[in-house]
Formats: sequence, structure tokens, C-alpha cells
Amino acid sequence: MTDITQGIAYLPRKLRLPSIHMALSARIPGLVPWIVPAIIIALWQAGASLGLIKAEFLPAPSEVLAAGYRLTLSGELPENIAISFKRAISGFLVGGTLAFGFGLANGLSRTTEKLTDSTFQMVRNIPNLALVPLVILWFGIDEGAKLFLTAFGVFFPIYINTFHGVRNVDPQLIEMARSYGIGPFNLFRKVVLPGALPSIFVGLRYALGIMWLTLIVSETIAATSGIGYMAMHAREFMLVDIVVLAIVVYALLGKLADSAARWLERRTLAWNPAYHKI
Amino acid sequence: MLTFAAEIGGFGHEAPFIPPAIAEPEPERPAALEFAVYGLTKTFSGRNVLDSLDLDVRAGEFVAIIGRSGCGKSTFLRLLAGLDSPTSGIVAFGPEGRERHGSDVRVMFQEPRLLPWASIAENVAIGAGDRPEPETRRNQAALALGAVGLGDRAEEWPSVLSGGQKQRVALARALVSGPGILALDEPLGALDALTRIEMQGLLERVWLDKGFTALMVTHDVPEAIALADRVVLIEDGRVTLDLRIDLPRPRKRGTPEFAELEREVLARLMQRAS
Repeated sequence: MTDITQGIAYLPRKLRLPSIHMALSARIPGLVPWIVPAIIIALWQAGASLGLIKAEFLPAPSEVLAAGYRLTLSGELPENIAISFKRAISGFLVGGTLAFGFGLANGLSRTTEKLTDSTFQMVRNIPNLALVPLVILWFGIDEGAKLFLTAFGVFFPIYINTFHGVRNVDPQLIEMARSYGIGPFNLFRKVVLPGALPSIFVGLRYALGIMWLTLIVSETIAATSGIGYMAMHAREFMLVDIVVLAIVVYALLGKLADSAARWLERRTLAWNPAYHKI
Repeated sequence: MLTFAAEIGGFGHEAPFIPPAIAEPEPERPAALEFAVYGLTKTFSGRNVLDSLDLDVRAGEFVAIIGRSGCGKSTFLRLLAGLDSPTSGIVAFGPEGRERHGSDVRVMFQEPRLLPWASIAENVAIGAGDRPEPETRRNQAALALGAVGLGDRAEEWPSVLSGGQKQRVALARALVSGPGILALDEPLGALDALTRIEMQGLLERVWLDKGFTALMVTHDVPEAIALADRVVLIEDGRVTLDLRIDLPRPRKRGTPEFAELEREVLARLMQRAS
């Protein structure tokens, strides 16, 4: 007994770390998550400047930045980013829309669930990149190949989480709404969809990660444009700075997509105490 | 104008004309509804939870249903509200013994069952159902919230409310459509003793004010005696005691009459156990 109470008495001291975080974020709100990346880049730059990291192995951040500047001026970088972005979004929209539709349908209806769910569960276990050879045979290295692979990869996380979200809406709330004479349309709009939304967002954020991953791989294997192609092309000419630039661009695009999803999540889940600002 | 006068009874020009806009937006159906059940039976996997139960409740009456856990009292309430359908038997509403209409019965559950993603006002508006116009819904919700003393909390999320406040919102939601019968399934069971007594007072005031028929399932004998016109005991799926409580309202606990009734009902309730 005494041990436990002593342990609790010690806890506040151990919990001082978050208070440092709070003090920091009070002064410079929004900057805290960037502290670690900034330190890594500073060490990287220092290592490169002191000659500890060879330029042909990993060029300095300043060189990567310079490559970025050069390619931006030549228009090559913005163009490739635009192409990759367009591919990502279109693949995401096609796969995501289908997944959302099937997720809702199967969540709401046992009939369509019986009809399609076990098929999806079987196909889900195929790693989408294992389809690359087949997809190249089908579509060549056209846009179709990238669209198919991205849509395929995005489909499953959104499908499963939408389905799961709809199925796990509190049955007591559904019973309540029905007993108050709420019809099917409003039951969906006011109870089922908002109840499933937290789970749908989990799927969305997973899907965004898979979207970039699939696109990178398909662009490095079979493409004549895009960030992935830019990186592979640069590799052939040993332009390491451009290779690293491409990787950094991917990281930033991924972060951007995730931030957008989080913003949307905060907006739509404002009712949830977990999203209240502390 | 002429047709309107003719409709209200043909008094012609002498009839005091009340413009409909000023008239209270009361629902056209009566405030309270009587109901009766005959031979109500509900079987779950071969076991009769309700066994040919008969009960007759007058319009505006407050009936408390008590009984041990598993005696079928909650099942009875669910059948009355149409949440389940009986294996056999009849539930008849109104003087003419018709079937249940949409908003005849409203249920107040043991849990508040508020939608966490809807504001308190929107939660109450759910009780108005699908039909009314958005503005009507909002006005009705505001009125009902005012009646339970939460008029100033309309735009907040339910998560900021205490347990008792959540149940008050649930009560407002149950009342917003002006039901003829309010069925309460141990609505105060999860509240602390003080909040519970407070809520009992609120429930009684609202019932006296609106005049609906109330059917409350409860475990709590003093609660049943404090609120109900009749205390009905269900044992083995049948009514085995139907006791009229004639104490004047608001009832004071601790008076000899109250204590005597409480002792009587408890003794009857415990009889089986011995």
C-alpha cells in the first residue's frame, strides 16, 4: 500500500517533461514538431561541411536545396511534382470512392456484405506491388498502370475502416433514433455516418500513406515523368543531390497529405473530447 | 374565412375568431393516451419472459412497474414502445383500442443515449422525428430544453454535461414531440442519490404540467411510491400486485403513510425470496 502511494507521490516529478513541452509550445506554437527534423538537418549539414559524409554518398542539405532551386528554375521540379500529385489524387479518388461506397454498402447491408466481403478479404492479402509485372503487361507504363496500382492500394484501408466504422456505431443510438421515428435517410445522416467517421478517418490516413508508397514504387519502375522517374533518371547519371531531393519532396508531400487529413479530422470531429484543444 | 367559421361549428359572426397564428402550436392529439394490454406474452428461447400479462392504464396516469431483475418489466416496456414485438397478445391504444401510431409512445432509456456529435439542441430536436420543418424543430427543442432547465446550454456538446444533465436532455428529447405516453426504463438508475431525488421532482413537475401517461420501470420502491398513482409488481411475467397510491403530491418521504406503503410493497416483493 505505502509503495503505491509513494509511487504516485513521485509521479508529478517524473511528469515534468510535458511541462517543458508546454512552455515551449506556448512561446512558439506549432514549431515544436519541427525541432527534431531541424536538429537532424543541422547535424547532416555539419557532417557534410566537415567532410565526414562524402558528397557522392549523401550530399549536404545545402546542395540538395541548391538542386531544388536549379530544378525549380528550369521548371523540371514543379512539373514533375504536379504530375505525381495528379496521379496520387486521381488514384486516391478512384480507389477511395469505390472503397467508401463498398464500405458503406457492406456496413449497412448484410446482402452486399455476403456477396462481396469475402472476395475483398481474399484480394486484400495480395501485396499491391506484387501486381506490378501484371499491371505493366496490362497497361504498359502508361498512366493507367499508376492509377490502377494507387487505387488498388488505397482501396483496402478505406474499405475496411468504413465497413468497420459503420458496423460499430452504437446500436443503442440506432435504436433510440428509430424509436423516435427517424427514417432511414436521416438515420444515416445523423447517426450512422457521424458515428463511423472517426474510423473512416483512420482509414483515410492509412490510405494516404499507401498512396504515396505505391506511387513512388510505380514511378520508379515504370514511368517517363514524375518525382519517382526524376529520381531514377538522376541515379543513372549519379546525380545524388537530385535523388535525395526527390526523397525529401516525397516526405513533404506525404506530410502535407497527412496534415490535410488531420485538419479535416479536427474540423469534423470537433464534438469528440479527444480533439478538443487542451 | 367563411369556410373556417363553418368548420369550427357554424357560429357565424358571433363566434370569437382566433387567428391560427396566435393559437398555441399544440399538437392536435390529446395530451394523454390510455392503453391496455391483453394476454401479452413474450418468449425468448423457450422461456416465457412475459406470460399472458394484462394491464389497463388510464389516460394521464403515472404507473410504476417494479419487480426483481429478469421479471420481464423492461421487456414489457419495450413491447409497449414497439421496440420488440410480442410473441402473442394485444397492445391497444386510446379509447377506441387502436394500434400504436408513430409518436404515441416515447422512451426514456436508462442511458441518456445522446448523439455525441450533435449539439444539445440538435439532440433534443431528434425527438421531434423527421417530419417537422427545421424551424419548428428548433423552436420545439428550445421549449423542451427550457422545461428541463437547460435552455442556456443548447449549443454545447453533450460531453460537457454531468450524468444528471444528460438525463434531463434525454427527458427533453422524449417530450419534444408531445407524446401521449412516456415510457421510462429506469431512467434514474445510474444517477447519484441527490441528483436522483432532484430528477424525480423534475419528472413529477413535468408530468403534472404536460399531463401525459407515464409508465416507469424502476428497481427503487421509494421512487415508485414517491411518483406513481399505481405501483404494479410483475413476477414471473404476470402482474401480481396492483397498488393504488393516494398520498397527496408532492409526496414527502418519511411520513408514516409513506413508510407504511414502502414497507408493504417491500414485504410483498421479498415474499418470494423467503
